[in-house]
Amino acid sequence: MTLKGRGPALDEAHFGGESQEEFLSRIRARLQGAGYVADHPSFPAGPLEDEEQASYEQKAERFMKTLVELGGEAYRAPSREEAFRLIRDLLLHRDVKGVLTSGGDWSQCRAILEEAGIAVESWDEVAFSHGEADRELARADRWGAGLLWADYAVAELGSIAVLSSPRQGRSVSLVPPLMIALIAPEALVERRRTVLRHVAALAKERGVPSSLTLITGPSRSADIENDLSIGVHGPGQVIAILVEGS
Amino acid sequence: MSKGALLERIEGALANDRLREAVKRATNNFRSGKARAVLEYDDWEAMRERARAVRAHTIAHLDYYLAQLAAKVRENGGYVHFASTGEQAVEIVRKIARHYGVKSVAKSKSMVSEEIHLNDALKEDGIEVYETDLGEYIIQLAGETPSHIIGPALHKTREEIAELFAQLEGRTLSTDTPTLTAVARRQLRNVFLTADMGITGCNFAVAETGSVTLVTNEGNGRMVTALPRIVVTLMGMERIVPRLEDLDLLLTMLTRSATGQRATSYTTIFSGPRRDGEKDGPEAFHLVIVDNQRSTILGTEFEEALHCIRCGACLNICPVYRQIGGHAYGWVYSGPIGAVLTPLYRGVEEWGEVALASSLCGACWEACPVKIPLHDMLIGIRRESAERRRTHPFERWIFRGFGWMMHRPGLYRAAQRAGRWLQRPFVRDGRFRWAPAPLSSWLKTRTLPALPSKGFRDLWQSELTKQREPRLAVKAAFGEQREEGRGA
Repeated sequence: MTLKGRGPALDEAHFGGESQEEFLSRIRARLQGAGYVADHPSFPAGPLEDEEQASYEQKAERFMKTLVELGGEAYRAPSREEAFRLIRDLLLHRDVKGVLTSGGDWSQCRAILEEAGIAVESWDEVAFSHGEADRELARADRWGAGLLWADYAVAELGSIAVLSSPRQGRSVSLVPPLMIALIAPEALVERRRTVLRHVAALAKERGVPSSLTLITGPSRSADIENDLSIGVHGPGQVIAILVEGS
Repeated sequence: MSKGALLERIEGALANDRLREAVKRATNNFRSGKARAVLEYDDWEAMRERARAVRAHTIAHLDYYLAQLAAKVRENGGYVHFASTGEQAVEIVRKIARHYGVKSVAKSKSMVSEEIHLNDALKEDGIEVYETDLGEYIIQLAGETPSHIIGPALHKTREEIAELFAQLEGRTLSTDTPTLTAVARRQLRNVFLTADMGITGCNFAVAETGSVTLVTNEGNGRMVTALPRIVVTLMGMERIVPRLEDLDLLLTMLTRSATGQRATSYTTIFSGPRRDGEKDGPEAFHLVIVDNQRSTILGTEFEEALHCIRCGACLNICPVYRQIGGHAYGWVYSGPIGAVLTPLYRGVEEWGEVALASSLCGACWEACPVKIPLHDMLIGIRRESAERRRTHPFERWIFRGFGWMMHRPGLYRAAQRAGRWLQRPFVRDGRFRWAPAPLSSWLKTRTLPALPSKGFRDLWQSELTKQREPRLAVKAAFGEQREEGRGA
């Protein structure tokens, strides 16, 4: 089968393997042999009781408590401006010299940070390309923190969810050692299932985003004698700020 | 593989105190994490049942959902390949690497790639391959295979790890966790930024959206799918859910059962290559769907083994795994699920014996978040193995004799009487203290009670004559014992 994709389309058959038809008909034969009916299945309906019920206040409290338990930090800011000042203070406290921003409007924040001597680079401006590792590594090291507006935050898990888009890079919440996420009131939901349902609806409307990432606390590993270590690949510090009253 | 090899590996593991200590520590941690996690739910049992139903539904319509997945991946701009065997899967990945002129590969965890020995094949083509999960990285440096599905390097001590990292860095290192973690971070950061191709496994593919879901705690799954130009995902054909929202339950069951976490630090749900205007993410995405014997299990009594979500809970609870660790099982999957999958994927003839590495206590079934009846399957594999005459001739002879005797009640009673008399020299305080071979090896690790002076038949007879409602009396006497036995 020849396909349209990015760049010149490739012929899947060129890479060998079995044809889809052969592969699936073998499965179909085994399933039919076992008495299963091979038609369009209707999926059994899910439980109904756990739709979103919590108030904003309940969600905010649960989100903050859960994230802090995981080793993250969580704050509430009464306005955008307060949130930006809080970011400035958090960065100065950690001696961060440069940040990378992504998703949403950062112009006001930029002014506040630059005034405090912190360099700000926007994801829109960077040409982050693969291949020249030394250059990229040096650049990545310049970014002491990645700042982003979360697409969702999940109260039950303390998770921050990010959808990839031209304005929202995957690397921003991944490469720098510190991640700071701003969360608007409407982005805070009670359950992970709600996020998955939203994204499924979005996918039906205009195609699925190239990635949905749920970030739940700092990067961790227990691969050395079951001893917890933080920040092995992803950010070792995760800060969330609930931006309210805006 | 011969039974001798299995026994040899088991004896080797039992003699390695450090290994047993490490396995105990890690599995205790995983288990207590899970136990705490389950307490947070009033309806854990209902969730298990629902997760089982989701898996059963998906497998019963696997052809439909795989076709939907393939169509969606292509719609998202990715390519889909089907491999009926491990060799085909390896060949496909080699050709993809060759097509793009790949020189180096960053890999996040993939059990399928371990099944098919992908790393060796890529290395033969002159490609550098780096495992990026910290545990996998450690065992790759050591030239070993994983000993636990979610803690692949749990058998390595920090001193051994420091030694491996010291060779890499060309300097001596202290053995504290932050130092060792920092070395891995630095080494692998370079790998992520230079690798031409990322290779990932697949926790769950989503048919509805053509997505691949990866759960990691370290973030290597994100790095591998965000930075290299090309991403290839290897997926066992059964690792799929119908809808995006089905992930919610299955991810809960997976992480809660594996480590007790509500969610891993990262859940990456990626859907094909980067879209127009995006600056990171792969330029090309290839999904390789692998059969490699899985379809031969469909429609058999072992089909539910395909429901496995690879959480490792059955390993952590298994009294045998906890003593011998993962390597004794001889292949990539260990513990009760490994003792089922290995013979099914690689042949009962040769690998049936690993099903003997089980006490059939059923703890694995109770621990399984999707309720796979692993203990029944272990018996099934033992039966198939016996039917194919993979048992010792002496064992067959004994059981034939036993069967013959059981058909002759008079002879059976006579044998019991003779047994009570013959056992006398070997018995003290109601159990065997020693015995000639082959019973002697049984007694090395187990207790064998002596034949009691009054057997069940005698008790039954005397109860019958004593009681007017014999059944109730016997139930009262024996029901209690059974309850006790279950709790043990």
